[in-house]
Amino acid sequence: MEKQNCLLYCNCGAKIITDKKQNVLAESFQHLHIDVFELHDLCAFSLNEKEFINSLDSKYNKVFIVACYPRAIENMFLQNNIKLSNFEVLNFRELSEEEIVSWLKQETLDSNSIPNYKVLKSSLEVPAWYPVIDESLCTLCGQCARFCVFGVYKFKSKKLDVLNPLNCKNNCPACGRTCPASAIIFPRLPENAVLSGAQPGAEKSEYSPAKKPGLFVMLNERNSMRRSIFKEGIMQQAEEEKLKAINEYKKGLEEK
Amino acid sequence: MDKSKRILKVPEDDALRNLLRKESRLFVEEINLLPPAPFAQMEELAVDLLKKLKVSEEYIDFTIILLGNESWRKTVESIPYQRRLLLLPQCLKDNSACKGVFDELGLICAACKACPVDDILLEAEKLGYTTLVAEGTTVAIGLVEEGSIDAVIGVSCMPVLQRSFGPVSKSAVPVIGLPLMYDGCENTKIDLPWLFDEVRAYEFNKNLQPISISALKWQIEDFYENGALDKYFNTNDHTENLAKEYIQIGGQRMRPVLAALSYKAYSSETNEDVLHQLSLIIECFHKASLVHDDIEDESDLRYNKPTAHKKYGIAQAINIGDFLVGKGYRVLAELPVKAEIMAKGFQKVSESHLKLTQGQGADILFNQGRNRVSRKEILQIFRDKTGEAIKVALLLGAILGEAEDSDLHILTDFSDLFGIAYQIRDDLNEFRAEEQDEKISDFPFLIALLYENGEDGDFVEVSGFRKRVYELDLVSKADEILNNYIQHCYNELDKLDNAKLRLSLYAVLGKIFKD
Repeated sequence: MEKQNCLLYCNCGAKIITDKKQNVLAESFQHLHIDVFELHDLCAFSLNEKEFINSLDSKYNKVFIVACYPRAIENMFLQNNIKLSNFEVLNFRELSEEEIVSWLKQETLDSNSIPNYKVLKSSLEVPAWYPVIDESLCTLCGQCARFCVFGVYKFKSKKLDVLNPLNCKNNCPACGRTCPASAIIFPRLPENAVLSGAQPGAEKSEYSPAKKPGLFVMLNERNSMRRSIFKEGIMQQAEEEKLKAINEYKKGLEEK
Repeated sequence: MDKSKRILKVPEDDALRNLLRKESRLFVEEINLLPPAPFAQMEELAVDLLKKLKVSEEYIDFTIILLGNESWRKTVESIPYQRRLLLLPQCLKDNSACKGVFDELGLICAACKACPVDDILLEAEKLGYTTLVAEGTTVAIGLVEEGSIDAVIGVSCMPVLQRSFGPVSKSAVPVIGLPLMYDGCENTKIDLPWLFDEVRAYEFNKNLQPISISALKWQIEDFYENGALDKYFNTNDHTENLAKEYIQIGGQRMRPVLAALSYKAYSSETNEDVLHQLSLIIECFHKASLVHDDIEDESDLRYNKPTAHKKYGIAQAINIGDFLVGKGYRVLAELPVKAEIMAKGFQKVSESHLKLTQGQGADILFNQGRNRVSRKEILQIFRDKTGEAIKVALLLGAILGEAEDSDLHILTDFSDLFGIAYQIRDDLNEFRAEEQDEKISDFPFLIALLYENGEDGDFVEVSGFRKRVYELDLVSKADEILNNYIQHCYNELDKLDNAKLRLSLYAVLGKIFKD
């Protein structure tokens, strides 16, 4: 018999999409003529139950994944050594419920399997919050490893590893903000940004030289704001986030 | 020595660096090396200079960069700070201490002073520079192309400076390049006093200050925007309105831009009215010939819009073209210039008019299936059609700018060569594009080459024609001829007295003949 397709639907509860959207998708997916796995959640499974995801490769023809940014998922799989030869990510951060459901309905029109919806929970007991490196952007400068105080990274002889992902403090994306190449992704970060996996080029288009001197004006405005950007800006935010993570870590130790 | 195998070294000793800088300057002044000079020439000169100074040949690439800088020096120094870009590499930063952040354009320096970047930026910005800390030349080229920057002072490692040599000289962007003391992409160093010397250098010189082609192009395009034409098309007469419609419809406005370039390059003061009138005269004649050509060639579309005869019928279209010819002469007659200049202008424009129609006549014969055409005949058609159109634009501009006759002769030869090169390239482009609806007559130059090779040219099918072109390897032959004509174009430009026009036309050639 010809192999069927299946769907992985990530339900991480990190408030990336609204509860309502999450429920509408879950409800609609139960009627698809395809095997559907609702994962709690994809980030955790990628780390803790990767055998399950890897096993799908031989069982199914194609794996649809409804989750967040494709760049985040692809690099997360790469980093965690997950190999799916044929998968397609539908980004629920940007696509509407209707777009996702109608796309999947279209794709499963010919399917003769019966609806089969399973909810799977990871045995990981802490939130699967950890950095994902986009190797295509990383310049191996080691800045992240020097910045992080929790030993998440290992940077040695021009090689960067996310050695202890679970050492990462929940909701602390600080190292990612300091990355000069925007190569760090936190898939669970609620804001829709390069830091959560949006394409870095996406913001670029508004800079592209317009008919008349747009680039010039833009570059000079940017330069005149240089100092204030720094003062009010991103590095300070990163330092604050780091401090907060350290404090919560300390608090956690005291409670124990 | 093979240049790819050379070690790209910068002298560590300040005294030696300064000596080479000084001697390069004197040497370039002495031989009057014009920018952009070809790499091979500068390589030879560098060897000569190092021999003369008895300095080791290992500094040959460093010396080439110095000679390049010196050839551009006076041009760059003539450009106001506000029209310059200072480009620094981000590897200058202190990796362990840098507090800067990156955005889509490059490093935003946080002024933590761990490295000298902030001090350099402050000094340059105080003078009026636009600055950028980033690798690569993308933004720099973007700024030149949008017309807001005329020169770049760039710091980079030797390998990058060497690699950017080709593209920079092709686009004829005035640039001073400063090598980092050593490569390595991390915590690199720069000779600061040298950099500050270059950043500060300025010397007013109207004859050298380049014309920004992009900025001029925006200005010319505004001439055809709504309202700007009303001054010259104001009777609300039916025919005049139709003519105005075809003046306004798109195109690159390449001919008016060329005319404006040469006018601005030669005139001591730009008279904005003359600039507008000049560009309108050229566009009137150009559009008149297009409206008539489209009837003659039975074309339905131009600029993706219906041609005049498709929209209004052949009779109206002939009339629109005639009106535009008259309009062109009328605006010419109204130019506020001296009588002798006016006479010279009339002579040139009317002569061009005759040549263009003769070229078109020969082309019509050719298109009627006369495939036995010699190379000489086809080059004459290229000269009379394309070359003449470029010529009338460049020459009328130069005449109005009161150029010397010697330069007019050079521009005449240049235009002929340019027209020929342009058409050969057009032939080759079409041949490589392999369009569905291609006809043998789309490739006049290749037909001539076939004829030259003893083919009698009675091909019915394009496929048979293509086969013979491949068999005789005529594409490489045409490429070779094309490159020869392009080189001759540059040679003509090198004879020009007017440095501004020479440089602008270098940039035009670089843009049109990209590869």
